[in-house]
Amino acid sequence: MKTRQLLILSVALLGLMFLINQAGFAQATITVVNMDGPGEGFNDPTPVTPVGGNSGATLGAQRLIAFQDAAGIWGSSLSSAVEIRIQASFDPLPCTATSGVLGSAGAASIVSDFPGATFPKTWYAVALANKLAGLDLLPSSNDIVAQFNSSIGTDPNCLTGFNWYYGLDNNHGTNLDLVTVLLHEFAHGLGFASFVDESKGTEIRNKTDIYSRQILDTTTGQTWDKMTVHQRKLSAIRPRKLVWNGAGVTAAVPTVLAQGTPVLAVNSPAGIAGNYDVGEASFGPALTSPGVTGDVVQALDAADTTGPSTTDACTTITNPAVVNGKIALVDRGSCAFTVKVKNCQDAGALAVIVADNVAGSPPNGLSGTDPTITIPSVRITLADGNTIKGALAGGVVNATLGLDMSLRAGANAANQALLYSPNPVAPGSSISHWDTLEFPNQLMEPFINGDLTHNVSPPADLTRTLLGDEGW
Amino acid sequence: MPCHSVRRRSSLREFVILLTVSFVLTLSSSAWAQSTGTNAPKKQLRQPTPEEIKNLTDGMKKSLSRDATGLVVVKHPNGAESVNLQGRFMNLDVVKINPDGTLSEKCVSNVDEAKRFLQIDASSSKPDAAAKKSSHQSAVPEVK
Repeated sequence: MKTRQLLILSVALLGLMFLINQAGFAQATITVVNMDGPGEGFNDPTPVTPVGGNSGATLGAQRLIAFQDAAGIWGSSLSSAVEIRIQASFDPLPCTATSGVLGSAGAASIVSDFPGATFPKTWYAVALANKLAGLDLLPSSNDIVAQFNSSIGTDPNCLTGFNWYYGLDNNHGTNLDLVTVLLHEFAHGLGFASFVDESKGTEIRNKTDIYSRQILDTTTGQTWDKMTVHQRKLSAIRPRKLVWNGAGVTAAVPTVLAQGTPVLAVNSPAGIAGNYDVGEASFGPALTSPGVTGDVVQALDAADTTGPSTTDACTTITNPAVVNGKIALVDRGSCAFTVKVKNCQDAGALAVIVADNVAGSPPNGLSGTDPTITIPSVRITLADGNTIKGALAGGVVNATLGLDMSLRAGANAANQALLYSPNPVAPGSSISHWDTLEFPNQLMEPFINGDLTHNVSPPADLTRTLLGDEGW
Repeated sequence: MPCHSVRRRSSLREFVILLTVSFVLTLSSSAWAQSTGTNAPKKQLRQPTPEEIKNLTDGMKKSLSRDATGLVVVKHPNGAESVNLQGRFMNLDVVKINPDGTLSEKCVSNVDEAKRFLQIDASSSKPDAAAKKSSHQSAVPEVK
């Protein structure tokens, strides 16, 4: 190869490396500040075998390496001239044999009206404020606080049979992938969080925050910073009406979220026609487009000790001639969702709609496993179930169970990503996550799914992009 | 001069090799681990009792507090204001083992959410699958 060619190749490679760095591998130094005392937490001397790329020879060392790995992933994705310090510890946290706390994290402090702030009278997580200011605004404090449960895997009475997976390769199997949980929690600490008390609608010292500025309520067209306390309180429980208003996420949605949102479309009668929210099943075939169309019928079974209602489908369907070739409607309760759906399938149903038996929106999904189930099924809310039952009493209801291909999974028609804003019976909601409709699964959904990768940027994930909309 | 020229070309080759290796390493580092794990059923387990749930959630109250009462605003010479959150406004990951032995994890930001996640349907005797979507499917915490 001639010198000229070598030089051209060198320049091209340098250019490519520069572009890659600009695209997703900018640099921020994230330091894990070990707060644990001798012999505990990160300093636990218990010998362990290296696992999944984690070369630590002690339990404490593996914990620290996993923390550093998660910090490194975020550090290579963000840019900041100011060191980000994570105040980290592994401590015994509340836990029983069957449930417990994995850990917690968040911003240590918030800052407003600093030099370089993009908006006045707006709180920023301190790590972001430091980045925008170009200096450490609170040099005597750490930026993110993270505390994780050291009892998991060491106390036999804590989540018995399970352990943290300290490997860095995501091959966690049935255990808890520490790096994934850390990536999620660190994102909250970096700014993927509202500082509004959602149950009351109140702000800290009557100042909005950079996250809440970009929460848009599509029913009112207002962002949270423009709302009164009462308006925010009402807005926080409007399921699938709150979206992230940032331009970066909206632009990235087509490259990240799959086309098609699960929906129950009632075709007739006209009085109730329209799209209804559904929760999908973790068993049976996934919903498709154009989906399954048919008349909706009430499936009936015996009222017995297995299920006291004639509409719970907990035992053999007693009106199979009616159900055969139709979409069966059944009620939640008394037996597993898989049992209900299988009974309807055995009666010849094309698909199954499970109406919730408690109020709340959006509808949760149907969990369980049964590889013999071959028909699709969904859950709808109690209110929507009652609407359909009312229409059935007066005639035929025709519906399609499938995907609305005009929408991306977890976004609205304008490609704005939905935020998680459930309206359960009890007050309280979680604005600081994506809606559970997002698909492929996203790091910042409230349920930490087992199929997440360690990738925080498009085309896999929207987390980095949301932080970019805030100024990262 | 010829010697100088050879050395120059040789070092340039080494430079290109180094660059190529760096480039490949950069690309490979961008392909983060993609493997998927699943929580397969293990064994039947009981769910936490109401008392256990109370004890768990009592221990979360400080972290999950979203009450700003008592938080102090510090004014800085450059015009900035800051608030040390004193460990409040945290997000907290909770986990439960379902009756079929699978795990469900949820990140919560208030105690009510934590309670709802950890509570069980009193009539439940069936497994509650792990909260995960395997294809175009929802994360779901309930089995019945």
